[in-house]
Formats: sequence, structure tokens, C-alpha cells
Amino acid sequence: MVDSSLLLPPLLSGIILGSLYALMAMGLTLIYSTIRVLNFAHGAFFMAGAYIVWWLNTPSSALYGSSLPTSGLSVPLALAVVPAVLVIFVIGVGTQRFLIRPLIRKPNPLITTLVVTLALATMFESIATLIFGGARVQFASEIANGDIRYGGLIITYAELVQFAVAIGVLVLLQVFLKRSRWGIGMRAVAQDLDAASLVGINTDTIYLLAFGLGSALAAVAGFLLTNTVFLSPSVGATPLTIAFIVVVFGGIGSVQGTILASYIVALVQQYVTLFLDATWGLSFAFLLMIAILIIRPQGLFGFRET
Amino acid sequence: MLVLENVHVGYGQVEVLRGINLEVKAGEYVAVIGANGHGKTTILRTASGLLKPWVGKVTLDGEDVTGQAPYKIAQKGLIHVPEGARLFPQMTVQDNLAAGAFPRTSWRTRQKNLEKVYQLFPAVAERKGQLALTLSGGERQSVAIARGLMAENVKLLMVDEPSAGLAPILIDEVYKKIAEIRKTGVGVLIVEQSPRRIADADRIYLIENGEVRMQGGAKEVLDSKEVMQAYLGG
Repeated sequence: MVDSSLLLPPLLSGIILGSLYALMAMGLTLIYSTIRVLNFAHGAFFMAGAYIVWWLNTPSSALYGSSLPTSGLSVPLALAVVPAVLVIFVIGVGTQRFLIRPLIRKPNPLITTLVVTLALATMFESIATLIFGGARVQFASEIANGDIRYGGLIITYAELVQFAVAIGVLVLLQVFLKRSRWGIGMRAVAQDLDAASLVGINTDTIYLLAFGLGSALAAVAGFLLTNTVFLSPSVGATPLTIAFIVVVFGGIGSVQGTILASYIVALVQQYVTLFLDATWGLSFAFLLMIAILIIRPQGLFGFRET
Repeated sequence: MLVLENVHVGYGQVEVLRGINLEVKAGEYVAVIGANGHGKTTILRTASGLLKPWVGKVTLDGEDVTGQAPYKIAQKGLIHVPEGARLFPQMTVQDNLAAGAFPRTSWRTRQKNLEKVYQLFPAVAERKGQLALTLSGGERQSVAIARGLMAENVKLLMVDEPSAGLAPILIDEVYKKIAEIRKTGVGVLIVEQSPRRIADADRIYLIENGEVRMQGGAKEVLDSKEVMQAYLGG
């Protein structure tokens, strides 16, 4: 038997990790539900956003050997996130405008856009390797220092910030989608493209906004997740896989499904890590999802398309 | 106000409209009738920009809008309420109406238009918090028309088969609302399969095989032998 006091830490870390997965996956969900495109460059945007923050924040290259470029600006992390998010937003808008739009009304848009975004992801990884080298780097500091201890539980302030920012961004996104003019327009386009255009909604502009916003979410997730671990040009691959699986598991295009699936994956991952070890964590989470998808192919909250 | 000149259009290789000429003047009430599959819906889809004409011209208030994006044409005041209402199913009635006010000028005055629309459709106001997918067929049709009226500058409301799938009593209700909308000076272009409901139209077009078989005053067209032939065959 496992000591019951061991069961609580994975719950907490699972909730924190699940919020970060939800943030990452929500970007994909936003893009898919609006544009019907699966963005395989989502992991590359995750990585690129993290590198921009790292570049702005890292004081000097001395820490990592002379070959690595840093800005030397020592921009505080909380401030460095802003330009990173803006740059990735613009890259997302550009991707939609110049790569997706020309393909979207042609035959087989799902396949052609998949290949194009996959190619884009590979290019981003190569460029990052050229600039920053292939080795792992770490942030000079975490977003917050210190921790809270209560009984056997330890939560770092960095984890609390990760959790708070992820939830805060997700709540803001919901408010945007429910209350704002562009958010209502975006939901309308997602639910009926023709009907939306017939009430005067510029669907092309909505697509640009959706791709930009979705990509910006990846940049935030990229910074939050890598800040406490490490950063490398291929660091986006696993989060991309997790996000895809979460999106499909939750029911493709469903916001509630995406959030619920994110927490399920993270919690299963953390508990399996406790009972077996970390290498099994994700595999078990994915195995569970495969089993559920076989029983319920439309995912938790999905409905079969009519 | 709306003029279609020699419009040819179709889907893929199949030509559906074969040289349509049609006009709706400002504030006029015009109906397009004909049996199913003869191109009535295609006329509306071409006017609103969902389909680009192969040949021919669409003008709105004298401006050539042929081939323009649907959202641009809608913003000019030509509102198309599509067949089957086509509400945004996962949005509340209120959000469906808000979506109808998306163009910037409409968004600014949406509160005023919302009150106007709720006054016209009190039943819609009662359902404002409900998801559109939970509405009955009659309610859906009302919300679709209400959504169209959320545009600040509606000049012409084009409604595709408002009676489709509705019980007779509900059809009467929808046409009562359309009559009220006409009183506000908005032009109406109705597509109907059945000629019964549109006897009070200013003018009627009878469409057959993608062409205007006949057009004229309501009585003239409805009493004609062409209408008899179109609906009874022969």
C-alpha cells in the first residue's frame, strides 16, 4: 500500500500541469474549431515563444559558452513575455494569410495545410538550431522564487504563477469569446461559415485573428512550461503531441472537452509517475485515451458531424 | 434597388440559372415561386454573394456588386436569411442576435435594434438565454429573421422558404411578421415553393428550369395558366 500522504502531491502537480496543457491545447482548439485546420506548427510556436523570452531575459552568454546569442538586456521575465506573445501572434497571422488562406478553399485542405504546417515546424526548428545551437539551455531564473510548505506538501511560487497565468489567460479567452464583438464573430464563423458571412462577418479577418490568438496561446504555454525545466529547438514536440491528443480526446473543437481532457491526461501522467516512474507517465495517459477513443471516437464532448 | 441582369450560374459543371433577369425596387415586396430544384434558392445565393455568377451582373442601389464577398454585400444592407434558418446552434438566442449586429455601425446601435427586434418578436425575447439548438422550427425561423434585422441599414430582406417545415398556423405567424417588417419600409424578397402565401406580394416571378417563366402582379401571375402548368405539370 502507498502511504496516503503520497497521493496528494500528484493531485496538485497534475492540476498545475493540466492547466498548462489546457492552455497549449486551447490554441489548437481555437484554430481548428474556427478554420478547420490542424496546426502542426503549434509546437514550433511554443518553442519560438520560449526562445524569444529566453533571449530577452538572459543577461549574458557567459552562462552558456560564448557562441550563444543573448540580447544582454536582462528584460524581466514578466515583461519579456509581452513582445514574445506579440511576435508569435504576428507569425500566426502571417501563417494564416500566406500559407493557409491560399490552400483552404482548394481540394483536400486538411491534408495540404497539415503538410504545410508540418514543414513550417521543421523550418522553425532548424532556424532555432542555427541561432541557438542544438543543446539544452535553461532560464537564468524561474518566474518566481521560494515555495510554500504545508505538511509534506511543497508548492513552488513558480508553479503557482504557472497555474495562475494559465487559468487567467483561459478565463480572459472565454470572456473575449462570450462578450466581445470579435469573439462573438469568431464563434459564429466556427459554427456556420456561410451564415456568418451572410450577417456581414468578414470571415477572412476572423481567420487571421483566430490563427494569431491560437498561436499566441502556444507562446505563453511555451514560456511557462520551459521556464522551470529547459529549452531546446525540439522542445515543442512533446507538448504538440500532448495537445493533439488532448484535443482529439476532448472532442475536436470542444472547449470544455479540451479543458477536461487536459486535466485527465496530466493527472494520469502524475499518478502513474508516482506508482511506476516518469517514463511511463505519458504513455499510460495516451493508452487510456486510445482505449476511450475506440469506445467513443467523437471524444468526450464531441458530437458526430452531420 | 437589387437588379440581377442575365445571370448564369451553377454548381460544378451544372448550370442552374440560365439568364435570370430580376429586379426588386426600394421597399417593394417581391416573391419568387416555382417547383423545387428550379433555381429559386440559387437566385438568393447569387444575390448575396455566396455564389459568383458565371455570366451576368448583380447591382445594388446602382453599384455593381458582382462577385463581391458575402460579408461586404450584407454590410451594404442586402440581408439573406438562408433556408432552414441556419442559426449558430451552440450560441444563445441573444448571441445569435449579437452576431447579426457584427458590422461596426450595427454594433454601435445594437441595443436599440435589439429592443426593436424583441418588440417585433416577443416570443424571441422570452427565449433569449436559450441555446439556438433547443428552439422549435418556428422559433428558429423567427430568430433567423430577427438576426437579419439586427443590421443597422437593412434595405432588402431576402427570406428563403420561411414556411419550410412549419405547421400552417406558424406559417401564418411568420408572414404576419414579414408584413409588419414591410411597414417599416424594408424591401422583402421571398422565395416560396407554394404560391398560396404570397398573394399580397407586389410582384411575383415564376421560375422554371433556371429561367423566368413569367413575371407580373400577384393576381396576374397566380391566375395564369403558366402557374397551373408549373405546379401541376403538363
